[in-house]
Amino acid sequence: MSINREKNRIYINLNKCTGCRSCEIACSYHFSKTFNPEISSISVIRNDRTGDIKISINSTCDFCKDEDKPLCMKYCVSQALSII
Amino acid sequence: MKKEIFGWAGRILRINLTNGKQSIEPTERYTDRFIGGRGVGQWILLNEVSADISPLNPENRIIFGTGPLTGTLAPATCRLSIDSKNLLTGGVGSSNAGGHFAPELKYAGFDFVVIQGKAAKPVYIWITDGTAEIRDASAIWGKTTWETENFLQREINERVKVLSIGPAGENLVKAACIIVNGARAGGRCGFGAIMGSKNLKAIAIRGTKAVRVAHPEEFIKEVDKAWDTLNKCETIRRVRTKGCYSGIVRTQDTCTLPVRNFQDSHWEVEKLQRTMPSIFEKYKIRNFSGFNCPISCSSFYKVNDGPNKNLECEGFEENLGWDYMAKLDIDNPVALLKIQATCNQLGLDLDNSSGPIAWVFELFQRGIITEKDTDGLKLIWGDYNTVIKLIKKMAYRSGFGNILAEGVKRASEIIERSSEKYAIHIKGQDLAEGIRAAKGWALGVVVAPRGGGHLDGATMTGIQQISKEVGKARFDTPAAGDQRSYEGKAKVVFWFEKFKAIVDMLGMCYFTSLWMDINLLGPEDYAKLFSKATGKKITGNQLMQIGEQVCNIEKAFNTLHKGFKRKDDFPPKRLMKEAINSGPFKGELLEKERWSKMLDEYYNLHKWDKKTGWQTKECLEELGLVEIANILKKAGKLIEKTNKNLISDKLI
Ligand code: SF4
Ligand code: SF4
Ligand code: SF4
Repeated sequence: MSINREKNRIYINLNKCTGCRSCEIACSYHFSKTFNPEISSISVIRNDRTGDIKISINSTCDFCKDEDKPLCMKYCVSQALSII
Repeated sequence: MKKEIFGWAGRILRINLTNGKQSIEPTERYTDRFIGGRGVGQWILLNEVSADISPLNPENRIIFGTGPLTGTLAPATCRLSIDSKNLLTGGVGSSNAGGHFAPELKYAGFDFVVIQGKAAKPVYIWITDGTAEIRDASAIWGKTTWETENFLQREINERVKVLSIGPAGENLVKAACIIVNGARAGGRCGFGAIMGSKNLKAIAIRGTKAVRVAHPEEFIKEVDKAWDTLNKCETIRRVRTKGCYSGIVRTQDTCTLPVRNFQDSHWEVEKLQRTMPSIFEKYKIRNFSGFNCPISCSSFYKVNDGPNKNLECEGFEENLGWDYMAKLDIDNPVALLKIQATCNQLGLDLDNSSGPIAWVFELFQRGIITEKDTDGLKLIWGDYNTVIKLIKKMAYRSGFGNILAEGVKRASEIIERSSEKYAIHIKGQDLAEGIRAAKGWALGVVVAPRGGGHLDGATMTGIQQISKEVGKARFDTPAAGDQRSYEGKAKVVFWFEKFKAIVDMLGMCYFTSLWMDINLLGPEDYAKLFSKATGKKITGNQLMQIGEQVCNIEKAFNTLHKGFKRKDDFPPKRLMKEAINSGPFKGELLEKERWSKMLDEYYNLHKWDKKTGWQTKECLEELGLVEIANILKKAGKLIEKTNKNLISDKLI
C-alpha cells in the first residue's frame, strides 16, 4: 500500500508484540545508519515480571521518509505494527 | 586521530573486586585473533588463570563478553558469553545467556567485562556509558533474582538491564547459575557460585551509545538475507509459533529423553499426552523474545487457576522437558512452570539442579537411601511438591540439600553405598541429555570440553534425519542423517565443534544456524555478516579455522588444569551397559568398542594423540597456537609425536 504520511498512523497491536526491540534498532538505523535504541522514535519497555510491554512512538518519527516501508514495521516479524 | 573500529565499542572493562581498581583495555588486543565472545573469553582464561587457582579462588576470572554483531540488526544477536573456570569439573567453563543484557553492555560502551578478586562485602556493579561503579549490595544479598532485578530497576531506572545470582549462587551451590532478565540462564559450570564467591550479586547496565558497522548498506543487505532465510524456514516457524519446547515430541520419538534418571529414554506416552506443548497454550499470554530475535522461542505464562493461581513467568526451553519432566517423571504442566519459576528466582540451573535430585529419587526407589537420609521426605517419582522442596533445600544448603548442592559426582562420594553407579555425569558435571539412541549427538555431548552438553559438537543431523545427499555434501558423511549409525559421526561432530564456536564468538543464537535446521545459516553467511560489520574480510573457512583454535584453547585448559584423558571422553558406564527399555529405539545403548573407534576417528581429525587424548605439537603448530604448545610442553603434557597406528581400544 502506498503511505500517506499526513493521514496514516502506525497502529501497535501489543498482543502480538514479543518485546524483541528490533523496531527500535531498525528505527535508529533509519536515522543514523548506526544501531542505538536511544535515538529511536519508537520505544519499547518490557516488564520481565508481568510480561507487560509498553510501546510509544514520539514526534521525531518521520514515517521513514525515503524508505519503501517504515523500517520498524519491516523488521517486526510478529506483525505487531501496521499502518492505519 | 584515533582509529575507528567497527562492530565494537572498542573497550574492555576490567575490575578487580579485591581492591576496587578498574582499568580499560582495547578490545582489538584480542578480537583480531579470536573474533569475540567465547573465543576471547577462553583466551583470557587460559592466559590468566593458572592450574593452581581453584574455581572459587578470588584470582579466578569471570568474563562477560559480546560479539562483533551484538547490538546490530543481524538477527538474534543478543547472546552473552560467560567464561570462567568450571566449578563442577575444575576444567574449562563456558556458558551463554540470551535476553537483553549483552547489547546493553555494548551500548554502554564496553565489549567485555573481566572480573577478578573478591569484594570484602556484597556488591553489585553499575555500568553506564563508559563508566562503572562498585556499589554496596547489602540490601539485595539474600534476595531472589527477581527481587534483585526489581530493586535495581526501582533504584536506578526501569530500563536498566540486570544479571544477577540468587541464594543458590550466594550459598556456592554447584548448580547455581547466572540469571539475565529474570529468566534467561547462563547455566552449567556453577557460574552463579563463582559470582557468589566474589561477593558479586549483580551487574546492572544502561547504555545510550551507538554501535557502528563498517559498511552499513552492504551490511543491511546481508542482514536482510539472514532474516529472509529464517523467515522461510519451517523449523523456525514451528519454534516461533509453538516455542522451543515443541521439540519435545521429536525428542520422545528419537528416544533421547533422560527418563527417571536415565533408566529409560522414551517416556510413557500417556504422560507426554498430559504435557504436550499445546497444553501450555492456555497459560501463554505472549511470545517473549530475546533482544532483536525474530525467532522468539520463549513465551510469557500466567496461570489463572488452581493452587498456583497468579504464577507469572517467562519460559521455557526444551531442557525443562528433559530435566524436570522426563528425568523426574513429572507430568503436571503447571508444576513444571512452577519449577521453572522457582529455579529462576533461586538462581538454579535446570540441567545441573535436576541431576542430583533425579539421582536421589532413584536411590530411594532402589532402597539405597531412605527417609532417614532425606530429612523425612519420601521420594516418589513424579511427586512435584517434594521436588520443589528439594530444590529449595539445595539452594539454601539446608539439611539433605547440602549434599545435593555438591552435584551428583561429589554427592555420590559423600553418600557412598554404591550410589555412584547411578550418578550420571561427564567429567564431574551432571549430564542433562538422553544420549543412547543418537550416536553423533552422544559423541558431541560427551567430548564437550565443559563437561558434557549439547552446545558444542553434538549434532542433530541424525535426529533431524537429513538426507544422504545433504550429509555427503555438507559433512562428507552420507550416514549423518542416521541417528543409530556410528559411521562418520566423528566428522560431523568435528565440524559442528568448530562451527558452534563461530556462532558463540559472533554473539548470535544457535537457532539461527544450520545446527538447528540444515537450511539455516552456515559459515559463509556468518562470514559475510562479520566482514560487512567489521570491515575485515574473512571467509567461512577462515572462521572455521578460528573455531578450531578455540576448541584447542579449551582442550588445553582442560589438560593443564585437570589432565583429562581419553578415559574421560567415554560415556557414563551405565549408558554403555543398560539399553533403552522402550520406544522405537528399544535396545540401543552406546557400545564400548564402537565408541572407542569413533573416538579414534575424532582424535585423528583433531590431530590429537589417540592414546592419551592430548594435543600434539603438530596440531597446535598447524593452527598457529605455538604459545599453547609451549605451555603444554612446560607442563609435560604435550605429545610431540603422533601415533596414528596405535590401537587404543583397550586403553580406557
Ligand atoms: S519489533 Fe514488533 S514485536 Fe518486536 S518489540 Fe517492536 S513491535 Fe514488538
Ligand atoms: S516509521 Fe520509521 S521513523 Fe517512525 S518509528 Fe518507525 S522506523 Fe522510526
Ligand atoms: S531463539 Fe530463543 S534463545 Fe535464541 S535468541 Fe531467540 S529468544 Fe533467545
